[in-house]
Amino acid sequence: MADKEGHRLGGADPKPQPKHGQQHDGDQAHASGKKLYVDEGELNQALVHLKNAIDTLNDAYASSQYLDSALKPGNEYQSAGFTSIANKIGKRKRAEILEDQKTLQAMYDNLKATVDNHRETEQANAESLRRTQP
Amino acid sequence: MTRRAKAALAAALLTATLASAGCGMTVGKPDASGHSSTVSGHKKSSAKESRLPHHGAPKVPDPVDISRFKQHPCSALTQAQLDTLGVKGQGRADTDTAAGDSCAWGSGAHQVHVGYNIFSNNPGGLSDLYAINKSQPDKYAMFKPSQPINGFPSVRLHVDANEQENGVCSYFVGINDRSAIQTNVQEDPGGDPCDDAKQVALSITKTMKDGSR
Repeated sequence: MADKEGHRLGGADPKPQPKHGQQHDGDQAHASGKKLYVDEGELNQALVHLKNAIDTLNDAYASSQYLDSALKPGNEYQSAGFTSIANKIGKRKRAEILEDQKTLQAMYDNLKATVDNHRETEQANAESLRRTQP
Repeated sequence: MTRRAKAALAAALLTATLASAGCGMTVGKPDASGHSSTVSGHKKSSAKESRLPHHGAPKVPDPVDISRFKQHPCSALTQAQLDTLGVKGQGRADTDTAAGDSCAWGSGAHQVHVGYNIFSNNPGGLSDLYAINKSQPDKYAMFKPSQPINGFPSVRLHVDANEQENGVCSYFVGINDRSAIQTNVQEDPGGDPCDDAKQVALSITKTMKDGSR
């Protein structure tokens, strides 16, 4: 594969995508558009990924704070310069982490609400079906 | 050279190497002040080290040895303490970093995340923090010496501005004159992260105090 130019980076082969205008077998055009399939397992998996990402950001934030109070490696000019630059980068990075955390928390909340809503709807539908059956 | 002569030469070289390596080698556990004794006949501590505390840092009146927590930082909070604090998730240790040895607890969105770090590479404990603050007065958004926590001198420290508004707060606590820890809390804005960071410091210092008995 390495001999051939133009392959996708990252190693993983992409899933075959349907060509424009084509649909997978079994995909029926819905009256109001294409059907949306919700896989609850995949949604829960996405929630776990988001949770892990939030944890990682939290740990990175704390580590960056600790580094801010660690002594510089030596007492010479270069060490002081390095520490000064590192501290400034750390400060900026922490601000970014806080913003990323807010974004991920909002994504998590939205996805969680969607999963909960989907589950409730599915339960209500099942209950309704059970009642209509003799 | 005969085999016997070779063995004798090797033994002599080994003895010489060990003798030179042993010079100044640290032996034994650090005492309660965090200081390690050295091989007898060699300098026990430098003049500079004996001047602790410095830069206006308070002396730790009842020092505790925390060397065992450097290897297992997550043992500083018991499960009962975590339950009381309402913190979920397993402890995640991060040892031997540039900042020292740390542990973090708490997992997930809208959960309280707590952590602490032992500044293993800062040989002056709280004095080093005072020295940094004195040499760089604008470095910290807040540096506020506070009431002792469990008898240990403490400093409320805001590394960045608006930390409290963002649900972040930390305390620096001197455990002995050579070792300090920083407790850290991150939670949803709107609460009192500084009170929570103090609670975490209270719990950790209690474990460290109990563990030294």
